Amino acid sequence: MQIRIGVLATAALTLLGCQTQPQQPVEHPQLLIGPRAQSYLQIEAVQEGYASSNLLRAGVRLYNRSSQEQLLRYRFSWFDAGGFELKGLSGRWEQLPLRPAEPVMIDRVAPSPKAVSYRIQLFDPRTPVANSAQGIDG
Amino acid sequence: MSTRNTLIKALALTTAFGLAAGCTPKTQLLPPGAVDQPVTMGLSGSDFEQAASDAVQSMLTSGAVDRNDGKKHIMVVSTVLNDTMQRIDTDQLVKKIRVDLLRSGKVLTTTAIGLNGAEDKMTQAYAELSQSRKVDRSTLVRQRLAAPNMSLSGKIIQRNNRVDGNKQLVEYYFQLTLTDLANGLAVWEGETPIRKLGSAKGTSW
Repeated sequence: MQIRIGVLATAALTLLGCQTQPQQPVEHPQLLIGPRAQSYLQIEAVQEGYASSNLLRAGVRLYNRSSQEQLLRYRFSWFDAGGFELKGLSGRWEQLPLRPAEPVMIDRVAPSPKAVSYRIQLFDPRTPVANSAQGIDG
Repeated sequence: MSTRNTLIKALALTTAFGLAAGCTPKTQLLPPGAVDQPVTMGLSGSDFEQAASDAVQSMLTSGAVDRNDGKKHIMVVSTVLNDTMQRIDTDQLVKKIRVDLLRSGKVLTTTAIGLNGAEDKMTQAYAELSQSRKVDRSTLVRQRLAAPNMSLSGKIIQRNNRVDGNKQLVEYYFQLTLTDLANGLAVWEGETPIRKLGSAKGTSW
């Protein structure tokens, strides 16, 4: 019995270790987190509201739960009612150094009042581009 | 003997050309937002993007460009000074801000009025069309130029400092102001600092 549990645990850990696809946390479906970033990111909250009366505004509060400084690469994508992505400076890839345990809030305002939904991509720059689809700006 | 010398020279030249061609760095197309964007000590496109993005985000969240009468602000671009050691076209910054403000649906920019005359000279040329006999006057529309009610001005500053003997810190400050032309008051102001640490041997101009 113990051997079986051991084998299962090893298999589960191996699978987790080999995970290469970005994940969408169940509680925050707007987030897309890369496998490396997932190992050190702790998401505290995802917030949304409006700025300048009719522009969608979204943000994520997070911190680095590892003991080393990490570099986070992130991007906000904005979508209209038809599901098409809206272009703008607030949809560019940006980088942010994260010190251990230091809470950080990242937020952006949508480029247009047409934006009705959004997605926040959080990656580590060392994640291979092929696995993360993080190379091209929208 | 002379044939042999010519052959040696030709061989040496071919080898030199071959080596030079082989050592030439390959030209790459960098997609926007690529992970390995080169970082320069001077100002690059991504620095202008950063500064423009910060300015627009700050303007939109501050409420400075909000109107509750359903109309849009009309902005005129005033002077954006380049106080750096580099030759910069400040339109690299201003254009990005204009594009993003236009997309936001809050601000329109006039191209008919400016400190150095109209940005789009066609506005003036169009007014003269009514004098031309070649133009069908029934197709002309009466011009009523919208006067701006806001002005965007600013300055880009550069400061170089030597650090630890062999490194230098180059600081750039993008300072922008949005002025309400009705009363001359600054309704929004922003500053984006961009700091770069690199070799003191490199130049930033």
